[in-house]
Amino acid sequence: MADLRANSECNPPEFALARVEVALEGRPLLQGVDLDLTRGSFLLVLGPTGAGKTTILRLLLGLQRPGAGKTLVEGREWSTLSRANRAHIRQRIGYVQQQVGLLQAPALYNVTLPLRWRGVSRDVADECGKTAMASVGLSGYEREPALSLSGGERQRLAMARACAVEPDVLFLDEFTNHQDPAHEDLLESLAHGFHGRGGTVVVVSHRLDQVRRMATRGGDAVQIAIVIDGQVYVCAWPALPSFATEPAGPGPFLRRLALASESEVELAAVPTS
Amino acid sequence: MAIPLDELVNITLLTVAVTIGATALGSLLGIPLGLLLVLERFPGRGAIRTIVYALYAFPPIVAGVLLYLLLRREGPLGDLGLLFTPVAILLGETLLTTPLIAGLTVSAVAELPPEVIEIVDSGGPSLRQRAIALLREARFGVTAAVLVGYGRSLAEVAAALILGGNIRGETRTLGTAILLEVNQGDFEFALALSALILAQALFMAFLLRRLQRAERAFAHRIDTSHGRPKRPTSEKTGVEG
Repeated sequence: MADLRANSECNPPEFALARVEVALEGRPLLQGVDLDLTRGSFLLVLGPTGAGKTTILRLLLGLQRPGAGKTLVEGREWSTLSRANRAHIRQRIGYVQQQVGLLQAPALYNVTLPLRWRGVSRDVADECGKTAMASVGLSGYEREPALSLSGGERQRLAMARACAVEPDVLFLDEFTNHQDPAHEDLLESLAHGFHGRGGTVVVVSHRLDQVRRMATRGGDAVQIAIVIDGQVYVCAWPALPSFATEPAGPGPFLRRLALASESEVELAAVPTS
Repeated sequence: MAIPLDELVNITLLTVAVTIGATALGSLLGIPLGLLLVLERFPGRGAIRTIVYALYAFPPIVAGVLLYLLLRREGPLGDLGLLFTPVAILLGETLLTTPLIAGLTVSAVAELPPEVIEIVDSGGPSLRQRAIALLREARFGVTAAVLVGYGRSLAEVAAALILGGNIRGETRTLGTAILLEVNQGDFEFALALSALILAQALFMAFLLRRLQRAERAFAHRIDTSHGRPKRPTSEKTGVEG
């Protein structure tokens, strides 16, 4: 199994989970999970619903404390950082939630607030916000109440908010839900463009077709993390088919996923070398 | 008339001033306390929350006695000479409004959707920025908390009587004036004074209703917004999501 830590000496992890355990209402969700995320990497997190994919993002962001183990950012535990340090690190991260949280305010305010928190002037923040909204096809919606937007528009607004701060890292949780194919392509293009400029990207998805599409477009640098049965299995994208043949671990899940979508066409499309 | 008109005006103005003052002071103390209790984790937080909730039902007469012991000439704050002044009444009423406003602020912020709190936190705000952002989100609930605090101190009698002494022309409020009129058997005038208090209470109820309507109108705008014909079309792709 390929491991993101393979080249950790020359490229130390930006974010890491070390022997992390999380329980949800007494039920074990993650059990001894290790995950390293190096700077500039592109990680696609795949797994069934309720497997703990979103929890992994929240752990990486330091928004959730593990029951056991360590959640690290730049080699330091989130829990040991001062409030100012935590804030400083999070200001470098753009986050799109699966269940998008929006403030009861105009759409533009939602996009520009994180910029204003950094001391950016209102005029500059508004310009940045408008540009970010235009990039996700939301020009003209600036004064609309954010909560009046449709599900797809909300998600695109969240993407605009994440990108407006010009982050170093993008955490995208099921970020194309409710999108038509054109907007799905638009959002995926933004994620690839961000990675192309050297940014670190983590995309959570439960859809193999999206993972395949983004991995194919992202090239060999893309890593896949499969979250299942409390474990995380990490491999390079080209190695995914070998996982599918395994009798245990992610194998049965990948085979079910492939069968559910176009009778293994998805997996067959995975490059073999 | 049992009380001259100018005196009645003074009593009413003092009552309104003390009530607004106690609500303002209670808000200044209670809202930050509520935010602290709901947003921060620290040792003893649970115990303080329990005390705040218990003080919802803080008997005004007990608040009056406790403050009296502090403010009386022999008490630790006796040198300030505040006993039997409007300031003493103000302090007593603040003691009653603060826990109520703090507790209701806790409830208002705690009811915010978790994804809203999460997205605010993920943006890396300072303590102050985070508090302001979440307070803004919980503004309807917090405003209602302030109005309830106003109602709590409106023409309160027990603490006002103990701390103010019901001194004519100085510390007589509508509540203590009514008590006096009842004691003197002038029920007609006591009823007239009660009407003045009720008018204030009705005004507060009116404000609450307006607030609820504004909230409903906001929610309605959200519910009925989908498919609005005048919505702009996406520039980049020409498709609506």
